[in-house]
Amino acid sequence: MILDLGIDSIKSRLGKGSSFCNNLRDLYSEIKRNFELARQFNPIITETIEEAIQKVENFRHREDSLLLGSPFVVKDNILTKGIRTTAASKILSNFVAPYSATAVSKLESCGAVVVGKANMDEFGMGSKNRYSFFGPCLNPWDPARSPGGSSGGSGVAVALRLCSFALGSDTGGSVRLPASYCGCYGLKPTYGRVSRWGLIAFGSSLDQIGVLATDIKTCATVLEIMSGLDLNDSTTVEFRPINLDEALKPSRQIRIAYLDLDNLISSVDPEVVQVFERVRDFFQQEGIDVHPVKLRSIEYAIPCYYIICTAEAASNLSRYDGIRYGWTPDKINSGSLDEFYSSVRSEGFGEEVQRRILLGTFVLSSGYQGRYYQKALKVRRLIQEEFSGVFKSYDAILLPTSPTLPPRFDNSESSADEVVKDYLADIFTVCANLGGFPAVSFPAGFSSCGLPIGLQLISNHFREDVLYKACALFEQNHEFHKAVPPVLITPSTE
Amino acid sequence: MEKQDITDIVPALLRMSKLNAVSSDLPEGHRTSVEFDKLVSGIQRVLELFEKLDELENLPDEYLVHPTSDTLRYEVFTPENKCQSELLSLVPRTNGPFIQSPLVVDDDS
Repeated sequence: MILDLGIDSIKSRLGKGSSFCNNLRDLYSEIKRNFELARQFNPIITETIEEAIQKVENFRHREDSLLLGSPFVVKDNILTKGIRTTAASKILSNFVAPYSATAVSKLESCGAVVVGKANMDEFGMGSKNRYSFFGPCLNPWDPARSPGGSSGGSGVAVALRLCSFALGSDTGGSVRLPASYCGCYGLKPTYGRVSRWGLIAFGSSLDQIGVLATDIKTCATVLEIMSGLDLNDSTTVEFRPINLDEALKPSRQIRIAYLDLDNLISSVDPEVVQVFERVRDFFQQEGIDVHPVKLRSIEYAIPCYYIICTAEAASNLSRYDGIRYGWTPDKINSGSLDEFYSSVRSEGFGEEVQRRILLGTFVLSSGYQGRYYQKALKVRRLIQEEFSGVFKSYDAILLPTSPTLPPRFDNSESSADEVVKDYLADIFTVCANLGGFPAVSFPAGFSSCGLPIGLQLISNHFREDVLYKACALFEQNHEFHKAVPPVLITPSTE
Repeated sequence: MEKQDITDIVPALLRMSKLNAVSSDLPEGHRTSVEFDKLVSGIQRVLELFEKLDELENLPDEYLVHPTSDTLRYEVFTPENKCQSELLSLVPRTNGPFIQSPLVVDDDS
């Protein structure tokens, strides 16, 4: 039987009273079996399922704990006290976090239990989850393909039912791409809704912690718990909480603009276009006000995003010197301090991270800053204003999450052309980060060869409730979110 | 705008970033750093992508200030490549508290 780990299912399965503890024990035994099955896809860097089992032994039912007993997986760039946190990098491969991220602490205080730290692209830099020091993560729908990145392990953990939900971080689509490729929901909140305290920084003006889960209610509930002002992160904002009972009611009282793909059609896979048109027609048939919109600034989004995020990454990653924390080589050759730093950083960072540090240093360097970095800041504003203009007339924008199906891993991985091709996979996701808008990728269909296809909805700042309403309506009428990878249906032969 | 050839600049970038790159003629087992040629070609290709922004001219300088609203605050990086948090709300622009690096626990500085 397929494990249903949505928070409602867990609550009803665990029950109350004397059976609660036994039910909890049984649940974690089943999850442990899924962990064994999942290892072939490499979604987890550090498993904590055994510790979780010991922890839940002491749990007693409490009405007020919203997530009591809910297992969750945390992307390995989010700090978890006492558990190794590597950001999938050699340079942090032995780093044990001295405290937990605010988001993790809030979830734990509601009874959720960490069962593992998810694989990812090193420091969140990648869209395929192939740049991990711990090896690539594979897509359970087709192991020859990528699960998306950078939160690939989180997407796979949800797809393989290792947890109720998984935390990811989204700098340019890193929660939404894996959600799309793995067949689950991926929610990136408004910038400032969730504290970044304890999130290992990549692009600080873009980063947000997000949620991946199999249903919209779980995503929304987890996000509400994580939200709110945090004095450790001055960019967080206290905003009125969303009434989830109201927001999760399917609603037709929303206006949706859909992206006119005419100018982009050549770069979007026909099967993605097909699903996009089908979903657009569904909303229309439901009586929702649906209209096309052209967003010209999208074609500038990729260069704008990669200039800003590499500039911020170059600054953020300058703290890794091999002295204060993390990995240091066993054998240190004599030389100057600068030579020591260089040798640690060159060996400790992977290829993609080094490329982005160099790009970031270049776009910020004297003589080039105006042409690249300052220009990108202006274009960022242009993009934000174009989207804000649309939100004056519409509640949400519907667009693909990715222009392609889950990409294949191939041998020419890091050729210059492949690097650029990888960057272009983010074309539909980076705008939400540049503008600080909330966005969700939802399971919207399957390709002819059975690969999941996700679509994306973006709404105005702090209007996650619109996303919930639209997703609830879609979920009520479709079952794509319930589909599981073949490995959970066919017993493994290994 | 002219095309940017960065081959000559990469050694300086490597120095500033405290990174090494190795020559591709080293035997496989001796390569611990990324190959220089590979780095240059990758970066060169990405810079071609960046040139797309040259199409946009005369963007107002006011755009340099991040999008403001009464609720959104952005973390801003100064041109000097220093991470600095600024509150960009409708309240007067002031330097906000420096966001301590999540990984620096006891930073005496």
